[in-house]
Amino acid sequence: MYSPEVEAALKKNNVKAGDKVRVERSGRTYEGYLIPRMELGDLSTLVIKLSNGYNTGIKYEKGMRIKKIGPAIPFGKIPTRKIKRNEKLPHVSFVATGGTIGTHVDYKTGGVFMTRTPEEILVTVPELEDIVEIKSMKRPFTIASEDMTHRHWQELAEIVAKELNRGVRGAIVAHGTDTLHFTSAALSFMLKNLQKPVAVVGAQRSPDRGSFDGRMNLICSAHFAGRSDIGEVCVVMHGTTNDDFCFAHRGTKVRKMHTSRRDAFRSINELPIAKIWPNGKIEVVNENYKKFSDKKVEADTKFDPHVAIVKAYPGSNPEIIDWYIKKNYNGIVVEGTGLGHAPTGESGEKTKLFDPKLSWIPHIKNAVSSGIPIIMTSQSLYGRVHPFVYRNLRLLYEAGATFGEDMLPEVAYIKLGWVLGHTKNLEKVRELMQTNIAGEITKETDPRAFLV
Amino acid sequence: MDYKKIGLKVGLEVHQQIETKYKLFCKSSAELKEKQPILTLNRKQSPVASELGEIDIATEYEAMRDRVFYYHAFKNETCLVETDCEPPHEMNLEALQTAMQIALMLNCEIPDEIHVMRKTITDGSNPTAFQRTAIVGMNGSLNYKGRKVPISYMSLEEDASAIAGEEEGKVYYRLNRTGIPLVEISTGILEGFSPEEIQDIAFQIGMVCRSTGKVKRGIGTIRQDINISIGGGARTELKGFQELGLIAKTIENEISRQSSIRSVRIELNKKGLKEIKTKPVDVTEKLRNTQNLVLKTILGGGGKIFAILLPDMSGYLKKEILPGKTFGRELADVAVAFGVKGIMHTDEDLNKTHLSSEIKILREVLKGGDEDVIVIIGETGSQPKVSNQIINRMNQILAGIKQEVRGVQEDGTTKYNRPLSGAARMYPETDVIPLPVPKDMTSKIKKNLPESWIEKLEKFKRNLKLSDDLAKQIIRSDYLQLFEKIIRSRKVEPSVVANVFTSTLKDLQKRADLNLDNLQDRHFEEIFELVEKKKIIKEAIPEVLKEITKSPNKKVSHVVVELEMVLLSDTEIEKIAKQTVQKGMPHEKAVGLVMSKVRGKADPKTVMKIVKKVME
Repeated sequence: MYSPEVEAALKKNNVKAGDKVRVERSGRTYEGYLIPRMELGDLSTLVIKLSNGYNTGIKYEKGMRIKKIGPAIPFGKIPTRKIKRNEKLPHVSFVATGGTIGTHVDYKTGGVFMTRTPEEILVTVPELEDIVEIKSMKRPFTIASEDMTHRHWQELAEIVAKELNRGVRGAIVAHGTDTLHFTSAALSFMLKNLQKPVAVVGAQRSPDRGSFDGRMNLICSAHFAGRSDIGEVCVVMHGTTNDDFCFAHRGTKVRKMHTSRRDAFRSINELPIAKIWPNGKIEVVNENYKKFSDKKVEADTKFDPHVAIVKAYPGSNPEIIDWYIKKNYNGIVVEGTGLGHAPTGESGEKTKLFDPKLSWIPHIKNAVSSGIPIIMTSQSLYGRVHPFVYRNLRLLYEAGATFGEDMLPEVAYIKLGWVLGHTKNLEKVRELMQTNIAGEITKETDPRAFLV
Repeated sequence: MDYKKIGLKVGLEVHQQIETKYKLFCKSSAELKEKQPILTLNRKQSPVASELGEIDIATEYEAMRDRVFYYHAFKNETCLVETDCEPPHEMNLEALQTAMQIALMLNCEIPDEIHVMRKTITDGSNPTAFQRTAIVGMNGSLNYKGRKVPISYMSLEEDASAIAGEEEGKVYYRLNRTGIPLVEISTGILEGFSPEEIQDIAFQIGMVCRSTGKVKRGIGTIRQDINISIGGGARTELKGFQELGLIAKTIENEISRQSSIRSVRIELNKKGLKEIKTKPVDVTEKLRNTQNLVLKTILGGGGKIFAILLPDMSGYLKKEILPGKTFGRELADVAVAFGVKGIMHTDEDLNKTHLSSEIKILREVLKGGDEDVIVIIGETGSQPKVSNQIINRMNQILAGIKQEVRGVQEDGTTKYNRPLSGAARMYPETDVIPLPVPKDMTSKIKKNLPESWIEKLEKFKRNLKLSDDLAKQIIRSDYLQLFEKIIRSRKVEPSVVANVFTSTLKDLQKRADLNLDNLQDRHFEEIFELVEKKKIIKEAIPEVLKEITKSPNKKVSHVVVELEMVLLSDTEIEKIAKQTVQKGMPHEKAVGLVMSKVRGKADPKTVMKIVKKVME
């Protein structure tokens, strides 16, 4: 979008973005294609793509001559790939939802669009044809993952269940990475009796470049969905910064731990289930997984969106809980410190330094007595919360907080929404929140499961 | 040779690293000091479809080779930006200013807004698989002997990774060079210039860069690429000149090579051969019992053997296209570039290769006569990938459309490297926002442009009384800036300083036992301080430098003491003279004797004066 002044001048000269133009200014002439502007930078500077491929900026000046000298370049047509059929290969379904893995860069304008269809995504990874037979491709919506809501999870779960029940042996869901672990957790709870592999996969680098990491992630996802004996939702992403293998992480035990690295997804509090190489080798690392079976899956997508995550930290204002209650929320996950603490002012010597208003105790008590579950998790992420080690913990426990074992805060949030979608009975909710449903709670922690 | 008549067209690209603290798009150090990697990572790169759904030919070629790239990361000199694990940070403005300075010295227009692009490169030399680059100047010119050399554009870009080694299917790169700011200066098409003149133009462009005082110096900090075609024929890009002085010779060789290939093409076309239509034939089983060692190795390794029939081409592969280089060798270079060890063919001496009986079989299988050439290729995989490339290459030669990148060898010849990239490999870097160039920034740089090297040359001759030759040498020297600094701050004879940086260092370079990398700027500054203070004489400098290369951590004044090269006072010389000189001795002999005792510690003129005084 150019500034109104420039747009008007373009209109007057009958020039549209994309046209081949000649621009004259103070005796100098520039020729090239007029590129539509990004919103950033100086909006009254014309962007011209020169014959050598470079874009350059020429500041608009009143009276500047802009002349169309050739037809517009066709906007980048996104290449697609006709998929080679091979019925003998394992059958899988492919679902694209947007995100970096589904972006398309218009090489001419530089615009980034999240419009790639599954067929377009496959152009970058033709190898998939030799690994699996893609029976169907779905694109329910195309969004960046930070825009996902429970409705998207519900729709995804419905689609995946339907696809799996149509007879494919696995599914691949391509997804933005920011909240990929929320979706993998949501699918883990919503796909009841799942015993087929569902890969949730993304990319940290865009597909326009030769170093696109999604390529290996997709290849490994295809091996996972088409050939593994794992019957769970897993996040399949780079295992290291190298292009050597992917990990399949359990959908409820994984988290994005880096903003930009390709190996950002890590298993937390357990070992990844498997290592998958792009050549098809699959090595099980963690035997504790549901085995593949051809049983039907049920989409159990009831979800109460009135759940929230709040963070307790030094100086945090616990009135946030009251605010949520006032807004008719039905459950809150607290991301506590360490073993699951929140400030109470009750530890050690009482001093005037702690403002009693900052104690979370009365607010938690108030919530629980109004029937609203408070689930305690830890911002340490690694490790298990514990209600009895310190006095402050005991106080929180007595106040009625439910301790969420070794669940990740985000997973507890998804689980709480899902549980509340099924029952509002406080005791029942508390019981379910402490019971393992989809691999989100481990009985014991493997001592190797730290920073892997 | 009349270069205009043969239609010589040359485009010159000069790449010069800029001296900055940090890299172009991150805060990693640009110093290149570290030797030991802290981490090595490995990646693959794959072809990416361009907007037309076509894959760039150079990219496809890289994918065919299916290599794994290993990247060495260095402490403080590599961060997540270089490893393609983090988006670029904002552009280094110091580098941009220097680039703009060079652009203005080359009379370029500065764009009103800088747009960073991604240039696709999948040879692994950048972990992102593209290079970030932006136009900083356009439509400039260089005045060369009264003629205008067009500078069509100048860009500021990231340097690529330096290659550290290569073995089968693996390439090693160093990430410390990755992302160092680099300017690329591209001339327009140069016509009517001789190879010598083109070399000189490259030199002059380099001098313009250097006159900013803000460019890196030393091996690999300035590199030239040359695009060349004759008679409207195919364009080749020559890369990797080890030294500027090789440019003219290499262009001459390339002219001969292109002409020879063209005459081969014309002859074959005349014979009716315009396209090779035959396909590679799998002859693995036919040659199963061969005694040829090369073929046995391929078969032993599970590879396949393919044969190609080149009709009516008997004798052509023997043709010399450059002294010592046959047309067959030219085809073999392609095979090597695509990953096999070489090719064998019937234009070679078959008795040497013990292939006579095999060829008999192959002539039957391929239905070829004596007028045809048979080429044998051992493929590592089951498909005739390399064989198809040979046919491809032959067909492009026959059609006269081949565009390729060739690597410059040390002897000034070139070798097939890879196909030349097509267009459409440039698109915007969406992670860096367009950067408007403030008008006052341009005018400020314009006002403070450094003097041109020609002005400097005149000044050196006029004010410093340097000879034309010495002035030229010091201006070309990597030590120009240091020379100027010393001249400014110390009262020493400029020609003495200039000579140290030129002939003295050149002499020392010849000594294999001396590590001149150990010589730092401060050493020279200390030396000339001692000269100024009359603590040492200029004749002592070579010895002092030699000693410093061996123990660079010592202070120069200590080295001088250890070498016993501290200048003697007149009284000390007089004392020695009195002890040495005997009555009736001829004056010359007396001076000689005294000199032998004080060599390196006294100025000969002073010695003569004192001896004279003592003898009177």
